[in-house]
Amino acid sequence: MKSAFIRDFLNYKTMLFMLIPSLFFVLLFQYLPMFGLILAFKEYTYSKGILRSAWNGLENFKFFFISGDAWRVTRNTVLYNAAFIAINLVLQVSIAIMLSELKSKWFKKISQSMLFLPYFISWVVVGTIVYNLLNFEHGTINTLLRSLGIEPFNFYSDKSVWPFFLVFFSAWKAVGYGAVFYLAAIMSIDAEMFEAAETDGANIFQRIWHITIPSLKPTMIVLTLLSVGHIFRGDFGLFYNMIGNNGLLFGTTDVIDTFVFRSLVENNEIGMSAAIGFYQSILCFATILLVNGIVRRADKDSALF
Amino acid sequence: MRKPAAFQSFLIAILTALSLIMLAPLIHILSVSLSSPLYAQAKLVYFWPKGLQFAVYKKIISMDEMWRAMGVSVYITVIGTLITLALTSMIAYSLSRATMPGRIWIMRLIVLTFILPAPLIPGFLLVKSLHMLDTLWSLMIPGATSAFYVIIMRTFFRNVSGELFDAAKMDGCGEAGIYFRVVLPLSTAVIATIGLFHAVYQWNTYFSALVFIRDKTLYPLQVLLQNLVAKKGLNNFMGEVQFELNMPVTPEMMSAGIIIFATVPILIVYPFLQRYFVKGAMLGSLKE
Repeated sequence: MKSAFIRDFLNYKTMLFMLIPSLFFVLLFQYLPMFGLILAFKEYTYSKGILRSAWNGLENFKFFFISGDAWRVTRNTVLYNAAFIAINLVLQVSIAIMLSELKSKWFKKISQSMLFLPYFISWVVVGTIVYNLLNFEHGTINTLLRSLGIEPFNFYSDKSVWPFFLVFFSAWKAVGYGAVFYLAAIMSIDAEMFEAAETDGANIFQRIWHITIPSLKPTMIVLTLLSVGHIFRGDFGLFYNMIGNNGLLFGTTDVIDTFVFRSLVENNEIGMSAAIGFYQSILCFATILLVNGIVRRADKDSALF
Repeated sequence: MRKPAAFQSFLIAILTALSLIMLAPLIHILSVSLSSPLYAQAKLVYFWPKGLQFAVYKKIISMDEMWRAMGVSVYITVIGTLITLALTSMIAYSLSRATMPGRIWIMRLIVLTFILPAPLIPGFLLVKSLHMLDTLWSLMIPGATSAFYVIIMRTFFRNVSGELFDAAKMDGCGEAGIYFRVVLPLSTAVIATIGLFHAVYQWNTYFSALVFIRDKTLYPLQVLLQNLVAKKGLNNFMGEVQFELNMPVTPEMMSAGIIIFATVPILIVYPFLQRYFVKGAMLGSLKE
């Protein structure tokens, strides 16, 4: 109905005005470049630009999939992300519950601040700190080992130890930050619920299990779904700053995003990079639709859309 | 309740241990930067400086490029955070009003950008064609509206009581009046929270600076830091420098000092925002 539309428009023109700046930037900087995904099927020449470069079918995808790199980096990316999602979720929820159960206000304030501290530290800094701790010649750990008469260990040439360090530092940086969302959700639980539970004789653990954790469920689902939406994207900052261009470690540490970065910087592989970007977007999109569908079936209100 | 005192001690023990793990690397770095080179080189410094001295910081504050990069980082952090807060609070407010037509679709459009971020090369070409390469706008504008922030702010605004809106309308407030006079003053918590998240993001900006900034005078601190310490570090730069007794600082102490210099300014923000913090981080259902 046209008249209703015009009436709406007049009623909401202030709100429309408030929407427009953000919407404009989202359309310009997020949606417009998405059309550039067609670059995956083109032989890009700088002078011709994206639109006028010639189509070349699946040529850009060929090398990535034939060389075996696709399997290796996809596997690493998904396994790391799955580990990050699961471990960080458990730690974040546990920390939030522990903080909320503390009786001492000042201790709660201080420990919450300490746990949040690593969020401020950039990956560049974390990478440097880790290097200072672990390097073979002068690293703090190896110097300590030598002074105790133990053989030093060359961490930077052994790829089997890195999954542990990467998961550890991902958790180190993320748990305090993530716990804040769960703590906020716990604070909004009606205090009467806890009082009622206490009157009924529930102990601390029963209270946590039957009241706190169920009321955290919506927050857990939203945060996990959002992370699952990125499961085919490696955290470039983490992996690049911890590993750099150390080929000895790539077997267990190379993720899709670091692989793309190297092919762009070292070999100027624009076509292949675009093809991999396309591959990631399709997989992420399919995964989020699938997982969101499963969540919606189980609990309609918790799904993202 | 069963043995509440024992349970409290248990919590305090675990949280203290976790806090120490979080704090240890920074205390170590700070101690190294403040120790005398003799101890630092011999790796005898752990969590307390030995042979306290400030030579590293004297050197750092005499480096012009450090101050220039600090200026760039402060600028993009302050301006970038203000832009993001203005844009996000406006769109989140209009999407939070239950009567706003089309809000569900606009919200979906925004959430989708979280799952499908702009691809790298087309994004670069767009920034280039807008003549934003080698400007600080390229570090602030493309990421100014984030789906995650919109979700958090919208959740918060929706919990502001509808009765207040009706009262404001009775007093003759329009939508803009409600936003400025009712919603914003009640939303300090969420503004502080998103402000802190985005300030940290801007302060730690380095990938977009690697991509968009060629001009060395426009490098933010993190890029300078990476050029000075991390890159060389990974190529074994400690091994190349021979230790000399008369050297006032070792390269490792230097990198420790630069890390502290590049990290402390953003840490200063936290105590001011801490009390608003937890209340602002609510993540509700995305649905109506």
